[in-house]
Amino acid sequence: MNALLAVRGLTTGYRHIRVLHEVSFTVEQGGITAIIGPNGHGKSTLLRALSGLLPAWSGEIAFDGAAVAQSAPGRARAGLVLVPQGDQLFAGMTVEENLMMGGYVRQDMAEIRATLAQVFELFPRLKERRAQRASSLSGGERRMVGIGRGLMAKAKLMMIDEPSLGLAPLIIEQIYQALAELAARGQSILVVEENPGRVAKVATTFHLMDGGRFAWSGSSADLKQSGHILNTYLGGH
Amino acid sequence: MQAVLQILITGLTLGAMYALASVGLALTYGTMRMFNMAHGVFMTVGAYATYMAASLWGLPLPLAFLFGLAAGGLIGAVMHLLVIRFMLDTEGFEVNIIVATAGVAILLQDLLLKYYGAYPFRQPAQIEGVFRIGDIAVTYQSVGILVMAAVLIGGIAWLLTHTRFGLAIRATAMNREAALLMGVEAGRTYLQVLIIAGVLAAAAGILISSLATLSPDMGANPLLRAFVICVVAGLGSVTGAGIAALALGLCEAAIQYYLGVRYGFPIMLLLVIVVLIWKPAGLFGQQEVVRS
Repeated sequence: MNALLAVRGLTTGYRHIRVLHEVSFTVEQGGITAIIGPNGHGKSTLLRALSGLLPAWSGEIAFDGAAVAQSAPGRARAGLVLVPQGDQLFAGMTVEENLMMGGYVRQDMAEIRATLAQVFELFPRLKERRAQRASSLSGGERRMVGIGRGLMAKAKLMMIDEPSLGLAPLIIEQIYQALAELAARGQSILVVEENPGRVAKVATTFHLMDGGRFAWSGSSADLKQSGHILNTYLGGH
Repeated sequence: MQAVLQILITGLTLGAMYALASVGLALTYGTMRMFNMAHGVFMTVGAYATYMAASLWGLPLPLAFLFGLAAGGLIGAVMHLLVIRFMLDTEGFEVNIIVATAGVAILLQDLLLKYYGAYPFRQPAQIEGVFRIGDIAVTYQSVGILVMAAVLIGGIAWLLTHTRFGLAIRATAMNREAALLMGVEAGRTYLQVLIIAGVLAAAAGILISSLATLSPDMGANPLLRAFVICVVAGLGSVTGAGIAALALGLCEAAIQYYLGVRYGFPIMLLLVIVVLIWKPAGLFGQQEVVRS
């Protein structure tokens, strides 16, 4: 079976500072893939490069069996969608307008409405707040809008950058529960998270990023056995 | 009472023209972070195009008016395709684009000067006649200006809030990167914004020239006022620019009535300074709040 996303030798950075060094990996159809690792080692940079916001210096990205488009909008249209760090909502728009913007790449209004109903089902809170401005929401609600907006695109692969960032533990649990539910329905998800503890229960494949390279990769079973490796990189006992 | 009514009519007419002139400028700044110094020349181009269509080709007024709007939209599109497109995303864009658009403005103004000469023409797009409310004489012209501005601004407001492409423009203005991630092609959005700005500016130019005269530098004064209005409203706030334009129009009319025409603009500037001391981000501007 062909991989949904295949990255080969991806190198990129900011100005003249190289952040990613020839990163190669694949993401299979279905399930949650997690990229874990300490802060400032290129996890978010990798997602930005995959989404097209940050141009690659070298390397190849194949998505759904074809080379990806050059621009971020082109990749979004192809179904490679990033839910960026810190939500990046359209602050002056209502919750519903934000969600509808998520469906911008799609044409069929009836289908978009159907997905909107699904998002409201997944996050009932958003339905209550649909006419409220995004700027007036709490942190957890904003995250829900961010993820919901990503869902509206009906992405083939949804990439989520630190879904737990800045949230209370209880809310983090809710968010991950929602992600697990999505994965169970067949949504492919690539998630970046600093702490593997939060994703360990839901993800099936893990990549540990250190210094712009993958230092370790494995399944959830491998993760349990390789506790010492993770402790070395992430600290702990 | 009579004075109040007179001020109201003059002020609203002024305000409607200011609103047309500044809404496009606010929209351009809001979406692209670009001060369009050629916005004033867009007005001039619209006014001359209408003059040409009506006087030289003998088109009926509504057609000539539409031709003027089209010319404004076209010049906006051409400027985007020939100049702005290549400067987007370059370092120092916000400063460089001011210089570049000012250059375009000078070029276009000189072309108009060469072609039409400096002689101030009369704008043929006029609606003759006066009617009376009590003792006040109201020209059909000012009613026409009010209606025209309301229709155009209302139309643009509807586009921005009720259509997919309007939603995309607002999304780009609020968060460009997120809009890219939603699949919005920023380049196309910018082109649409400049066409809208060009059309609105042309409408302002046609209406302003119908009260004054046509001359190649007629755009300079309204552009200055539009800038002032945008700063008072808060840079990039489109609704704010419309409201501030009407308020400043009324203010200016009152000052002109009680103190004399020559005090209108200076006192307006004084008011602006007061407003900015009190609210540095403008009346409707939002201080950037970063939350993550």
